[in-house]
Amino acid sequence: MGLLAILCLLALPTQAAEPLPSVVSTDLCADLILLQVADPGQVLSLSRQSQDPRVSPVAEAARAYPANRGSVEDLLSLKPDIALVYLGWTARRHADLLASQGTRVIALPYPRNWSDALETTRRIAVQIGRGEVGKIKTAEAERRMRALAGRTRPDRLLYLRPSGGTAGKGTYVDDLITRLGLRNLAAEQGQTGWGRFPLERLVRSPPDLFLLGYFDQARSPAGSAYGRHPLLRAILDATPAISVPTGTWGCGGLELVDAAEQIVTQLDRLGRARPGQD
Amino acid sequence: MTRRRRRWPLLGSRRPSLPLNLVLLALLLLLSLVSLCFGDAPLSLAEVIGGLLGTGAEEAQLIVRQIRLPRVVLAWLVGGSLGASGAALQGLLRNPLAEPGLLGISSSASLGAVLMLYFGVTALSPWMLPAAAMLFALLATLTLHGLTRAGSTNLTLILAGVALSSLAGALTSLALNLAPNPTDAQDIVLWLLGSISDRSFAEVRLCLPFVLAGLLLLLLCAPALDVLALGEAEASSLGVDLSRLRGLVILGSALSVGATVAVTGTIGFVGLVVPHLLRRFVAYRPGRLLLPSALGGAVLVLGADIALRLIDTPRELMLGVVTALIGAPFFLALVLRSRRDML
Repeated sequence: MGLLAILCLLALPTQAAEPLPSVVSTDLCADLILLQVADPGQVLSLSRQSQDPRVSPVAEAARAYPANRGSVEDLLSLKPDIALVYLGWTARRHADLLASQGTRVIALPYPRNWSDALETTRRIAVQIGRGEVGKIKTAEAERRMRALAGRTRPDRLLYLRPSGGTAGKGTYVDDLITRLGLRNLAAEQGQTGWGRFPLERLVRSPPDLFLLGYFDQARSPAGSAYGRHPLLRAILDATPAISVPTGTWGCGGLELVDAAEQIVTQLDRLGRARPGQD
Repeated sequence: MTRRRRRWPLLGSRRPSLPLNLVLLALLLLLSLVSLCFGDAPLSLAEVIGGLLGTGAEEAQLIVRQIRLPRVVLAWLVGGSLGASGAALQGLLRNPLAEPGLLGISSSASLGAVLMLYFGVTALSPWMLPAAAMLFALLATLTLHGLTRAGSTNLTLILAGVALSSLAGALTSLALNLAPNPTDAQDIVLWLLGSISDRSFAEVRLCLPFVLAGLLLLLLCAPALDVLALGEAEASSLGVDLSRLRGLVILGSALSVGATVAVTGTIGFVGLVVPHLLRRFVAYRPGRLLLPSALGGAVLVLGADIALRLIDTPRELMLGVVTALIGAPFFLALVLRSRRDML
């Protein structure tokens, strides 16, 4: 009786007919979705990464929840109805064990474009009983993204990381670049998926504009012989560049629209906008 | 040198290794030119030579001089260091399985480099990187030598090497776990596999002085190593200062291997394969083996670096992976052949 009363109380603020399923997220990208669409009362725990301000754009908000390290034992002791994990979660072989304890494991697909991001958010929202909120949030994000789109910019842009990594066709970065009306140099050179843009190719066909990812953090100096190369430095000095807002970039979820807005602001500041040429 | 040769009449003439060195040098220069011709940009041989000599188009000059040439020079330095250190360590320990990679010297050097990189010490001065790598390589070599000095067999030497590499590997992982930014662990793992792509002359300058000094120290040991092949007691009675010889070999390998590891990551098995292949051409004289091993090491590294660019993979293969693919089966064959000695 007492339990029932508590459940009713919990359900009250959401005005749902039945209590929402409890959810645990073990992955930063899933944390971002939960913080968008979930009811605070149904979230039992978020991943530990979500509280680290170096990698998480929502560190402040995430501190309101207990953190987990994403182990099977975490999930067994928290006993959520739904556990959100990333595709490569090593403990997925324990899905049966978790199912026997009443926990359904949902793996997040890796988004290839903006539509994937919207679709995943909508689907997760439905699965955690917040379908309506999911629709509202995705519609809002879609509207903001569409507002950014209607301009054509003739620049050939190259997305580059200090390790030489870039993004070709079939990645959400390429999708975003084309949505903003820019030309993705890596894709135009025939690159598909995530790959490297060789230094020699950069010398032969330099971009009009760089979109730099993670250059500010000076992370992993060992992996970035490419990023330190004097030739790259010379090209960077001679080419206008905008940098990717780090915290909102790695997951390719709804928060990508924040990144897109910041990129457009930087583009406008560089005077790269050509309104009215649509 | 001549004075010493008179004191050690056993040594005989060193003429036969001269053509070998010339052949290796010619091969090295040929492969260097081939290496300059391979890259992501399709340049013709004329464009490459024009770029190298500074007469070609600016684009070709940039690509050849700033991207491809540092890579070739690093291949020389890495290969020379590993080959000569392998040959010198094999001569000093009188053991054909001694090699910087197998003995944990390379992995200790990379531990030193990782510590500097991940805790931001390189921000103070870029020279901290090779300095730490050389210091750790030196510590590893000293430990190894201390462990195996009294009557070392193949087995004790290899076991000591396994212990040292595992320790260095474990401490590297620990450093990565504790590092302020553990997120790009993949980059460091790849770096540990060893690569000389995308390096610039800034990196060449960072290791060049130490590699040259190390190689010089190792080559100075050549006459004494020849005598040491007769046995420690015999060598002392013939006037070889054993502690000086040990010091030179240990310092020389630590300087050259440590400095190159700091720039390229760990590249294994070169020091094992090359001296073994060349030994028969120098009448099994450990001292005479040094220079050919340095040249041969450079040839092997350069060859492996060309091979990995010929194989079309989505992400370029790591140099250390290619040398291990060549070296590990070779090592196994060597173990099989000397199984009776080891047990």
